Amino acid sequence: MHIPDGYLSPSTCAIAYASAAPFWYVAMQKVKRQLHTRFVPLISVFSAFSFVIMMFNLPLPGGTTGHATGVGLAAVVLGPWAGMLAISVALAIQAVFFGDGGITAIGANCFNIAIVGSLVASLVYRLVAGTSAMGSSRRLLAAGLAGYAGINAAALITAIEFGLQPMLFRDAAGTPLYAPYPLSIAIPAMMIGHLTFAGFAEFLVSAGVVSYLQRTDPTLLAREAPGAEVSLAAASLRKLWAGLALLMILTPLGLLAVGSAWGEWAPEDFANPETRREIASASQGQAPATAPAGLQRLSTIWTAPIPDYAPPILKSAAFGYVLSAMAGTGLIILFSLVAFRRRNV
Amino acid sequence: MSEGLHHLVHRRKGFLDRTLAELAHVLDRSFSAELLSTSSGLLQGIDPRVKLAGAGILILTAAASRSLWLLAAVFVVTVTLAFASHLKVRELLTLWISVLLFSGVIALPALFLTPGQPLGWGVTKQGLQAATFLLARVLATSTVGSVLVSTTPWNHLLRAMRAFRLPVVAVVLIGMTYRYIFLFIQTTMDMLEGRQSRLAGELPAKERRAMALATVGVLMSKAFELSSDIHLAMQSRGYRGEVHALDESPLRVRDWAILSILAVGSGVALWR
Repeated sequence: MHIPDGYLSPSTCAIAYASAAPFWYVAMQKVKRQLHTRFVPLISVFSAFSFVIMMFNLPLPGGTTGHATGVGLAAVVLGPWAGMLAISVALAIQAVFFGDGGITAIGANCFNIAIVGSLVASLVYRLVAGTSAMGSSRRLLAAGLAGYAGINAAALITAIEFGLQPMLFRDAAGTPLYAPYPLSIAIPAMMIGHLTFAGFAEFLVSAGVVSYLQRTDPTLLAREAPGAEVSLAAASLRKLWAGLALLMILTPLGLLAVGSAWGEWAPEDFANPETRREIASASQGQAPATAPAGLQRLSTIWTAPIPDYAPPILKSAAFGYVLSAMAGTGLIILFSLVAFRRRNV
Repeated sequence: MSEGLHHLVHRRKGFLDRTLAELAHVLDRSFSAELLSTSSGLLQGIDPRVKLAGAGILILTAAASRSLWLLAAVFVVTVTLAFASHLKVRELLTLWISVLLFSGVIALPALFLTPGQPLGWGVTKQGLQAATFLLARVLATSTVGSVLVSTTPWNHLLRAMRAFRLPVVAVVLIGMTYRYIFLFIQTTMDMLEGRQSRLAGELPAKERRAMALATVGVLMSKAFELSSDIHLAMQSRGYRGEVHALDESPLRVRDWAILSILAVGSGVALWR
């Protein structure tokens, strides 16, 4: 995929540099505005990360291994503009310092992989993921497809560049001077490998790493999933409301319990022989003859508006439980809303 | 080695070993280049700006050439300069073999698929020339690039890029990235070796994939944490988003002379 020197004519390389330059400029302006002083450290560290993951041998089904460019992953995590800068820097370093890709072809490699790849990957990711929840499998599929589409778009552009060479650059005897194959050979030759192994490696690394991040560090996915956090919260809240409603409906189950809870006795319980027996059996035979003085005194300080979860106006104990649950939950929510608003002011 | 142990070692040569080997290769190559670039030699003594411009001229000459003789001349000049700068034959041979293997596979079908005057066994004259052009061009340009990097310390190369009006922010990005690549390589090697040392046998393919992807995921989390730390460290040293480069000293007469000879020579060779 990394085009070496000698495969493209100097004029093709010049056009590729000229085509990449406006994207680099716009990306630089956009990302600088977005990141301010974080621009240089974030892009350079992510470029170093991209460089290293390009060297990973990913185990693919069938016992083979493959490399990924990480273009889909960069687009999913950083977005198309920051992603194209990070991948461009990694590609430039590969070409200049490690001879992977040509120096004259840096513009073409960056245009194909970093620019076209990032833009296509980002578009596919946004289209497929929509505003789905951060932890959803739809977002996972979107990331995988983004990587797959990004690398295949890059491969297609590369194949077209190769295929144009023999049409445009031949000597007097008809000898192709650069990449020798026409479009009819270059496109299938490039695409067969990329639609299968390379595309699958890219799908795997994008979806696999997003899956890992969903479980361990979903905040890293938040940058390119603006609606997802809200939908994640909404989804969680919907489940919470449903759980709460179910618990409220089930509150009358408490009526099935026999006796009273240990230690939750009222002063009059000590005067009632039946409840005294219950107190004694639950307290190793010890039951005070009368209600303790402190309990007697303090129990009159506050009279609950709905004693024993049974509003006096209702005859049905079960409905009283449900109503009490609703009133209690409502009060807690009201209190939380007031407290939360105050904290945010 | 017993058959069982041999089988185990053989089976374990999976993605862990291959990735570790590739990472180690990059470290090894950079270390060798760093050592050579700071030793004494013909190209080591030349201003990096001249070397960068000279390499650019040679690469452009090779890229634009329509003559196999000119491509051969670029190759011979570069190899001569490489030997005068104490580049090891083994390193050049490794480069050439890898280039010939990669581009050879691509060039080979051109012998048969390029329409033209038949030479026998399905090979055409134009096909043979096209394949030779491709291989010669790739061989010449990759040798120039390799000699440049092997004889110039990377920080000097970056300064030279700045002298050719490459935006300062691009130079800073490349420089910082280059530094952190080695940190990430080391971190990755530590992580992979840690896993490898705990493996008693071969993992199923699914778990191998999960391990590779988890490693990438952890590396990404580390990258974000690291970028935040670096950002804070830069800010604490007064960084406010603007990057500056140091002024360069002017080129000497000898540097101008080398550049002029190369430029005129290439121009004449291409024009003819």
